[in-house]
Amino acid sequence: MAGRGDVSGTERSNIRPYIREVILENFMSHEYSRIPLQRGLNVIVGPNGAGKSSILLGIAVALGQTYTERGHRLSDLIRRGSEASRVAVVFDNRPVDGARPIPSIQSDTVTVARFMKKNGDYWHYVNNRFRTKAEVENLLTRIGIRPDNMLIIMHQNMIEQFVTRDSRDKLAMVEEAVGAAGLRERIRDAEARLNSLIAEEAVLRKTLEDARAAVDYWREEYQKLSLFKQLEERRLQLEREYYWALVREAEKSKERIESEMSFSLQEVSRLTQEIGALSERVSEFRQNILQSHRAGAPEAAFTEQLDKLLKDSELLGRKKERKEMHEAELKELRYELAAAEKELSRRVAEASAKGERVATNRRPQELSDEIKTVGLQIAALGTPTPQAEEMYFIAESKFREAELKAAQLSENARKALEETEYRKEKWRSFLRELISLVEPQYQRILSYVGAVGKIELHNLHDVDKASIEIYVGFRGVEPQLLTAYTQSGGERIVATMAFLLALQKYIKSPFRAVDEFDVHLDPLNRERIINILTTTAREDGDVQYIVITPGKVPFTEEMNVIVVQNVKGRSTVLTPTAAEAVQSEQR
Amino acid sequence: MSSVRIAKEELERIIALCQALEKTGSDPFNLDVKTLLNRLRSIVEKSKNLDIIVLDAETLYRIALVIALQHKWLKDRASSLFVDSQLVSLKIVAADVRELASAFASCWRPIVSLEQLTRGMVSEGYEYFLSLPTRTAARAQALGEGVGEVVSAPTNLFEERQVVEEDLKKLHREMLAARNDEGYVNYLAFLKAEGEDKVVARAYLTAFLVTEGYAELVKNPLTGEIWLQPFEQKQERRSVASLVTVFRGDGFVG
Repeated sequence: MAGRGDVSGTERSNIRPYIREVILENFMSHEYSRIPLQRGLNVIVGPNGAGKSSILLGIAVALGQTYTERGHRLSDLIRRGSEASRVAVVFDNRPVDGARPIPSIQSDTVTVARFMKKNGDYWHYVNNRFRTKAEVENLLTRIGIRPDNMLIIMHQNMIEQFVTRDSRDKLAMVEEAVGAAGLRERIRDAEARLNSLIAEEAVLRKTLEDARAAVDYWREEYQKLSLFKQLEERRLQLEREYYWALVREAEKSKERIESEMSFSLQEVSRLTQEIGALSERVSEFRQNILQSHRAGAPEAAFTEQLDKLLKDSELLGRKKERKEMHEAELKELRYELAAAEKELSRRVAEASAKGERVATNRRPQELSDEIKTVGLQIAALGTPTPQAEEMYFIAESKFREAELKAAQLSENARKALEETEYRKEKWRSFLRELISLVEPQYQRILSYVGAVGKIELHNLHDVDKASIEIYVGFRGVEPQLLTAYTQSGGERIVATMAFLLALQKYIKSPFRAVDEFDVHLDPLNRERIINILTTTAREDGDVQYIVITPGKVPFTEEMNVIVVQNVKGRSTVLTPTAAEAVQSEQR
Repeated sequence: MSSVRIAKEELERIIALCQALEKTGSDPFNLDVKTLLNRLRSIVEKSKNLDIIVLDAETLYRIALVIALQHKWLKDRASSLFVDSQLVSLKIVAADVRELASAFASCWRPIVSLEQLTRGMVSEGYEYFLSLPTRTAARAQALGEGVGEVVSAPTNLFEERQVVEEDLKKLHREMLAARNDEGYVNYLAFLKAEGEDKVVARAYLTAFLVTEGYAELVKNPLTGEIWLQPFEQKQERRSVASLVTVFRGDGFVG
């Protein structure tokens, strides 16, 4: 394990702040008291009821403590007859090697004050500026002060309370005191959060399945829309083809008429020629007959000529009839052609409106049937959503993205969970290391009073159930678990003080305070503990100890002794080291 | 600058990054969690300083919060694919009548059920009633027969209603005619006007007239006497209270 700085988390041990002064105004028995303190050991002594504990309580309240031993309501701490009270703790913040102990405040002193009113209102000031309780807590936490932790400020009877506390609470207090409060808490929080996320993966999968169903819906809609469009397109093509087929039909009809007309015209022409020729021949035969008649030609010749005339006349008549028929037909065909041309023109106009001409050999009826079939197919599709294509592509891309991110999320959560396991191991190592350093100290201190002990960590595999158990054995007895029933009152105090003192090196707070640690101690043990305390305080020159005792303490030069007594119902503070008696009335 | 300080600043930077992401509500997948976790691991592996270890746990927690945000973001994103209001409205528009009816039927969760007293139920009750042992067999039989007739008679509901309305009008007229000089009618005497057998039927109909406001029922709290005060026209009431009259086998109780 690394050195002290590592365990305590404080590399700048030489620039810890310390409490330079405590000011109590209308606070409990103090009307106005200013208590100067110093680094190292400060011992507050005085008779019962003089107001010693009020000083410690004043420090705790000024620093924002929520729990108070003597008054559960803050307003009860206000001096009788007064409406308001003020308690202030002045930290020394002079720079050491260019750095201030509280770097966020650029002044030589940092005064943390709390005002209280009878109606229960209170507020905080830091260097005469209003601050919220959270801001004060934040400031103090940064320098390792947690006034609610009984390992930092141990009020009267708290030693008993510490012993009776659950071993899990004890471990939490130790962790908090050494500045590792957030470690276990945050690992636990992170693990709980990640486990719940992993547990919710099934819900997320279900949500993704629902999303997939939505995408499938849009895919179907899109396919329906695509088919709809194809069929619409097909219908338009067919319609165009149909109309041009009608044109083609009309054209054919016109061509047929024209052909018939041409034929009739040819016939008429041919018949006209034939009629002309026949007429000439008939005329010729007629002349011949007349000439034969005049010439008195034989009857046979006459008859022959007459037969020819009759034959050609008959033929001429037939030709003329046929010509007339063709001419009549031609007339009819001209009407038909005009009508066909009109129809063709109308159909061409209609077809042109449907699009450019398409070559087709199909019959309009055939096309019309197909158009009907396509129409039915379109009708069967209903009314597809026009936005289906857009919606499908958006949904598809969103879903793909969600799927990818779901995989990423799962990976992240698992990886982070693995990391919490590593942190748990780190936390376990830290605790084992801490206890491996504290335990020999604890045993050494106990050895001064002829006792033995050990410290055990339990359930480290479970961050919620992890606990610390302190064992102590007096007069050659095997170490027993420190409880409220196993040891005597004095033994409990000795063991707790030994543990507290063993832990001192690793406590992050720049000061520690303990009230009436020596109650129930026999004179020998009391002297031993005070000696250990004095030695520890001397060794840790940069740490401030505040100890309250109603008994006599062997005075040493390093010690700052504060004597408290009552005068006409008020507490008076005397500091022999400063050779100055400060009486509240005089102020 | 010490390595601890550098590590601390880096961790604080990562925490600030996570917090900023949380505050701005931007896409939490913009943060490369995997890389951050690897970086975090390399920092904490190198450091034995408690401050760094604690800050690392805080950072890990912040990253876990970002992962939780990623989860939420993803859930919202996936949900938006099927719970988006625009999408739902489009689906409704696109759905045909059959689909809409099917969706409606599958969503319908009745919160109230109403049972109507049917002729069949009355018949069932009548059978049960007849199966009970009675105090006065003759009366029960007589009553039973009456009910039986009603139940078994195939009557038209509309006609039934018309009959009731007629009965009410008749009773109202009768009530108005029965008024004393002060305009009141003795309730019990009025009910008994057609004999004991008709008391309950008349009380039943009278209750309609009173409830509708065609008459007022006044009870003398000292004597217990009940009087009817009929009105020519329906009276509007500002407030109403309930008054109970009880009839048992032997007649009016109170």
